[in-house]
Parts: sequence; structure tokens; C-alpha cells
Amino acid sequence: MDDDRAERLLSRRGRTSAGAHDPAGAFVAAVADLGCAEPVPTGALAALLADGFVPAAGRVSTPVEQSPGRRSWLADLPLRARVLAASGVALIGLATAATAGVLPGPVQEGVGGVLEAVTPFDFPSPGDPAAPVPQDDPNGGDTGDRSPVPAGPADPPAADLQVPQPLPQPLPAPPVPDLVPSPVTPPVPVQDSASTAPGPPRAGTPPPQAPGPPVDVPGQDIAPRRAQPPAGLQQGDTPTLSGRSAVAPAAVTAADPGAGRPAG
Amino acid sequence: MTGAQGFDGVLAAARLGQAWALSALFRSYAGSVAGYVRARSPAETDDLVSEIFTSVFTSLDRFSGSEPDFRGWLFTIAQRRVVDDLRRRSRRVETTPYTPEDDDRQVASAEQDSLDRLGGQWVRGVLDRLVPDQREVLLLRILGDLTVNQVAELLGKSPGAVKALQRRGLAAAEKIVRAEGVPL
Repeated sequence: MDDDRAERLLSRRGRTSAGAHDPAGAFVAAVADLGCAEPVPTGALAALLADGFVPAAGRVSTPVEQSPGRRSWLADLPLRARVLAASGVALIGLATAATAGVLPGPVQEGVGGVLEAVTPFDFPSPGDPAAPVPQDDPNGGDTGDRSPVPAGPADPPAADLQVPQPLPQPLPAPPVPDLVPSPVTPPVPVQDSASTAPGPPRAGTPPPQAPGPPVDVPGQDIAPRRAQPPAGLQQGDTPTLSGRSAVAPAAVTAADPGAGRPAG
Repeated sequence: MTGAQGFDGVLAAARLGQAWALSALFRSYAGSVAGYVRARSPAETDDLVSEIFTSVFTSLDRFSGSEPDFRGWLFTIAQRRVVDDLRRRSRRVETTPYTPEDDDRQVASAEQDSLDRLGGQWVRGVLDRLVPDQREVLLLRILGDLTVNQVAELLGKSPGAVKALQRRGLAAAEKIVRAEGVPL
């Protein structure tokens, strides 16, 4: 059995010149005879064939033909060609972004290096002066090996070398406002059952009662606690950095205005 | 499909729900669809064919193309319905007592019926011994009258694979028939 004979048998539905003497032809003819008996419509189909149906209003009776011009040529390509086309578009976009120097630093270096290796063009790297420098970097970014270095007097520039551009004069530093430490408002202790630290006395408020024994409530140990200063730490010394300062806030404020603020 | 209206006219009228056009489509294609269903899932052929055509008629607005395209679309729906039916049957075994009063099937005669049954059983016996992919390709090519490319697209195979399947399937069927003979 070869392809031609198989195709001949199938196209003639088994009616070959060999007739009943051809076993394959007899088989194909018997299979074709399975489709000779028309079935009896049942259920919903019988009603459809008898009465038809009214197409729904929202359904368009004639489908919109897709014009050949609007059919995407990409849809006709095989999968491999589509992947290649997508990769090409992505590569062109990456190269364009690298040329503009808008990629993030490490990516810019990597892509620029690859493109410089395979093309005769130079691409800006994050250290180049021409590359966009973040606004918040007053030093102009990293001046790496790619940045032009002004030649010294012992190293006159060759005629065919590019004369480096003078570095722009650094902008004068903006005036730093005089940081006068503002008076620190003493933090108001959290008024809860667990905190027994008396806050600063308020006008018109009666003096707090004598605190009872501290109650250790889980999860509420963030509130400043009134505790005895540890050994060797007197009132007015620099407290620890944690919120569990061993010094009462009022005492800290009085002794060192900046001590209550977190370091750094 | 032949006739004064032609396929395009019948299809346009069937989209509008006109009964004569639906009947014309059913008469043209129901036999081959029923043969395909009989070969794959012989139980309740009429019900399954009716489900297939109901689904086709109620989604005609989604189809556009020529008559060979319609044939390919119709057998795509038929193939999926048959696969679903076979899966459903494999999950549950259901028996229904036979009541002659409810049997509205039409037969030409007792002799013709027995001959048809004998031929159908024989050919189904040969088909059942083929590899499933070979059986599917042969049924779609013979009963669906689909091209190699249409079958390849429907089954998700390459045209070369479909050609190989039909060649091997016919060779295997020929071997079986040669060994056992044709009953009629």
C-alpha cells in the first residue's frame, strides 16, 4: 500500500476497477455505506426542521468577512517565524533604548557592551557624561574608565585623538539651611493600662496617683515604660536607641533635647 | 450541495432560521454524519446526530466559508461531540429498557435491516481493530469527505502524518479483510 493507491481508494470511495476482488476497496466501500442511512431527527432538531427559528436580534445573520488586507500577515507565518519576528522587534527596542541610554545601569552596561562588540558604534554607559545622570547625584554619576580624562601637561593629546570636553563646572552647593534644633515636644506617653509612666504635668489636671505595679501585657510593650535607669546610667545620660528607653521622656527632654530622636 | 439556491443561498437562508434551508442542510449532510457517529459510537445515533445538527444550526452565524469549509466545520463539531459522548459513556454505564412503542426508527424492510446490520457490524469490527488514529483518519476521509489538510487541522497533526495514518490503516484493513473475507 502506497500513498497513491491509498489516495485513489479514498477518493473513489473504494469503487476501484478491481471491484469486490480488492479487499481494501471493499472495506472502504463498506465504510462509505455506513453513511447511506439518513437518521431520524429527534427532540429540538425536529422542531427546528419543522418550524425554523427566529435569529436573535443581537446575532448578525451574515458574518463579517475578514478582508484579505486586514488579515494579519503575522497570523499566516509559522510559529518559528513569529517567534523570530517577536525577538527581532524586542532586540530593536532594546538597542534603541541602549542607544538613548535610558536603561537601568547594569542593563545599560550589559546591552551596551554586547552591542559595542557586535556593531561599530559606541553606546553610552551609565558612567559616561553624556549619559543621563540622575537628578539626585550632584557628582555626575560614576566616573569610570569610559569618562574622558583631561590629559595632563606631560601627556599631550595626539592629533587624532578626540579632545576631551572640559568637565562642567560643578554647581555651587545650595545653601544648607541652618539646622537649629527645634525644641522637642516631649512625647505623650500612651495612656493605657499597661503604661504607668506619668506624663508631663498638665495644667488643671490633678497629679497622677501613685502608679501600681506594672502589668506586662503581651504585644503592648512598645509603649515607653517607666523603669528604673539601669545601673551606671543616670538621668540625663543618652538613652538607648530602642523605644524601651530606660529614661523617662520628660527627663530626656530636659537633659538632652536631641536624645529622644532616633539616631541617624 | 446542488440545487437552484446553491450552497451560499441555502446557508444564508439557514442563518435566518428558515426551515426549508435547515432541512436542506440536514438532508445533505446527516447521512455522512450519522455514518461517522455509527462507526464511532453506535448507541443512540439519532439522538447524537440531532444534538450535533442542533448545535450547528444554532451557531451558523459563527461560520463563514465555502461548502468544503462547512463540511470541515460540521465534522469538527461532530468529532468533538462523539468524543464527549464516549467519555460520558465510559464514566457511567446506563441501560434503558427497550420499548417498541417508543421506537420511531424507520427501516425499509426486515431483510434490508438485517443486511445493513450485518454489513455495519462487519465494518465496525474491522474498524475496531485498527489503531484509533488510523480509524479516525479513515472515517473522516471516507465519511466526512475531508481533504488530508482538513483532517490534519482537525486532529492537530501534520498532513504527512495523516497520509501515513491512512496508508497504514488501509493496509491493516486490507490484511484483515484478506484473512477473514468479506461477509456479503
